[in-house]
Parts: sequence; C-alpha cells; structure tokens
Amino acid sequence: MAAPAHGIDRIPDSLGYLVLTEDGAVISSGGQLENDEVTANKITKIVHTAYKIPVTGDSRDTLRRISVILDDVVFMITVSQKKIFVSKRHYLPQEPVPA
Amino acid sequence: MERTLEMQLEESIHNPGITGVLCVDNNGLCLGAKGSAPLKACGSISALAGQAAKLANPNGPTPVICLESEHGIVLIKKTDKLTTALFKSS
Repeated sequence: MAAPAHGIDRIPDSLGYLVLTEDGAVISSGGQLENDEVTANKITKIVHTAYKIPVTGDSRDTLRRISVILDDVVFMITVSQKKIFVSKRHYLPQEPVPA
Repeated sequence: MERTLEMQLEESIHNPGITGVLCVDNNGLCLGAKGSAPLKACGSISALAGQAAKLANPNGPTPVICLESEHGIVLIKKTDKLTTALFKSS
C-alpha cells in the first residue's frame, strides 16, 4: 500500500511533492520530487533553520508557511502533525493592476 | 561607507507595512538594522539564505525566501556578499 500523502498529491498544477518526517526521512513523494532524498535533506535543514527566526515580536505567533521562490518554480513548505509537507509548483506572479 | 547602507535601510523602513529591516554578511554578522528587527536572528537568516541557495541553479538568481505567520511575513534575499531580511506585518 502506498504511503499516505494526506491530499498533497491532489494539488492542481503541482510539479512534485514530498511528505517528510521531522528528521528528513521521506514518507511519501511524487512527481519531480519522487524519491528525491537530496532535496528532502536540503528542505529539512531550511525548515529547522526557519523555525529559529521570529516572524513577529510575539512568540505565540509561530511560523505557518515557508515559500522558497526560485526563477520560475516555488517550493511551498508547511509543517503539520510533526510532518513536513512540500509542494513544488510553477511560479506565476500576477501582474500588478494599475489603478 | 556605512552611510549609504544606513540611507538604504532608512528608505526601506518607510515602505508601507514594513516593521523592520536587517542586513547581514555571509558569516551572520549584522551590518545594519532598522525598526523592530530581531538582532538575535542574524545568524539564522544568513544560514537560511545559504541553505535555500542550494535548491537553486548555481548560475541562476538566488531565491527569495518568504516566512509567513498569522500576523507577519519575513522576506529574505541573498545577494553576492549580503543577505537582506524585510519584516512585514500583515
């Protein structure tokens, strides 16, 4: 039986996904990130470092989402139930609408 | 030399929604800060920018890292010898 992807495999326009444990072990993966342990390790390090940065002065206001925007792709990363969820997607910034 | 950096930081902090701005070097040393930027996070910001750059094509542009919480956003971008972090309230 396939490992649970918790619905992250159903994200539209996704190029790939990873579900990782806190220490970076791959629970589930697909698309361009299928069994990509190298990227999984890099992302795990990013998550552990990002949690050390206070986003606001309020310590209760914890980190919800990390986005790493590369040239034309974006890695959207979140943590839930001690698992790291990563989705690789195309980055299509919307043009600003002139007033 | 610091005067130019001070002026740039001063200019950034006056943008709407910006609560703090921080400049760190590649060793995590704080080069300048304005507003309510957490100075203790200098090392982590520099490290994070370096780790995220490893996801990118080495010949391409460096990534922009965006950290979001319920009430704030941090935008981090690494350039050649400098990493800049912008703290925004949302």
